[in-house]
Amino acid sequence: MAKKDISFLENEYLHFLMMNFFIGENSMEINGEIFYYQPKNRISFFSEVNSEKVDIESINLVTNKEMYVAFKDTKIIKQIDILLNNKNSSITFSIKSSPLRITGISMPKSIAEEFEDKVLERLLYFECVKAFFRLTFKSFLDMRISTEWNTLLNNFDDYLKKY
Amino acid sequence: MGIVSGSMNLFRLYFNENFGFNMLEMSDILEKFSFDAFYDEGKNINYGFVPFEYPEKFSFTDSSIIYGEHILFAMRYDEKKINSRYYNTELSNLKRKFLEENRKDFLSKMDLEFLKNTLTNRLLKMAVPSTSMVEIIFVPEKKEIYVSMISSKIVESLTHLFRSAFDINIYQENLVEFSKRVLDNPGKLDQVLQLNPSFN
Repeated sequence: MAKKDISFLENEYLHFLMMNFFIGENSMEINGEIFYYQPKNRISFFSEVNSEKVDIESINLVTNKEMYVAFKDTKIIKQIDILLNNKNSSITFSIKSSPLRITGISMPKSIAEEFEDKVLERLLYFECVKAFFRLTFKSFLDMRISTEWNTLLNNFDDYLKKY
Repeated sequence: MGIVSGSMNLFRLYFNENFGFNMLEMSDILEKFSFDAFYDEGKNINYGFVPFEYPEKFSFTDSSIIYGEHILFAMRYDEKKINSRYYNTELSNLKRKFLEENRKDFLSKMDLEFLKNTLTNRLLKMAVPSTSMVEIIFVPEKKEIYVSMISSKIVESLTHLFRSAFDINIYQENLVEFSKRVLDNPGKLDQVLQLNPSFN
C-alpha cells in the first residue's frame, strides 16, 4: 500500500458534505429507505495560515453568518455534527478529522420491550451510520477525481457571494 | 460506545484471515480469554473479554452474544497508575532513610535501582486500578471489528486477545485503506493517491 499522505482529504470530505448540503445532493438510499443529512448545531473550523480555531454553535447553522465568513476565509473544517433523518427516525453524530472518525452516535429511544430487540434496533441504526459514512465518502472520492469537483467548488464560491 | 444505551462511537479494525470458528464455539472461546481467566493481582495491567452487559453478567454462558451477523462483547482493561509526584516524594524519603541506615554518603546505581523497584512494587500493590470498558462489535463475515475507544494500549491488548483467541491479526484502518475499500477499484485509488490539496 502506498504511503503517500492524503490526510488533506479528511477535511475536504467534510467540506464536501457541507457543500453538498447547501447546493448539491444531501439524500441517499440506505437499506431501501431514503435518508437526508444536514449539519446540526455545531461546526469547527481551523486555519492553517494562523492556526486559528473557530467553533460555531447555533440552533440554526444555515442562517449563521459567522459560518459563511469562515468558509470564505478558506478555513478547513475539523468537525461537523450531523443529523441523519428518514421519515421514521433521526440519528445524530459527529464526524471528526485527524483521524477521520465518527463519534457520539445518538439514536432514538427504543420502543422495543425485549432486551434482544432493543440491541438489534440499535445495531440497525449503527449500520445506517456506517452506510452513510461509506456512501458519502465514496461519492466524495468519485467526485474528487473528476472535473465535477472544481465545478462544485466554483458553484459553492458563487453561493457564498450571497452572504 | 453504548450497545445498550447512550451514544456509540465507531472505530473500525479489520483482519484478512478466514474466520474458521463456529458461532456455537464463541461463548467458550470468549470465556477462555476472559478478564477473570487472565486476572493476576500482581500485574499492573490486566485485560480480557467480558460480556457486553458487564458487570450485570460476568459469564458468557448466560449472556446473549450473537445478534444476526454481529457478535457483541467487551474488553475490560485495568491499569494501575502511580502518581509521579507522590512517587518522587516517597523515593526521596526512601533514599534518605537508606543512606542513614547504611551509613553511606551516596547511592550506587544498584542501590538506586533496588530502591526504585521496591517502591514501584509497594505502590503498585496499594494502587487501585482504573478500569476501561471497550465495547466490541465483531462481524466475522465482513472481517471487521468496531470498538468504542481506541489508543495504542487498547489496540495492543485487543491485538493480543484476538490473535490468541481467534488466530487473526487485527489492524486499524487508515485513510488509504478506507478509500480502497469504498472505491473497490484500483484504477480510481491510483487517481486518489495522485491528488493534491484543494485548499491551501
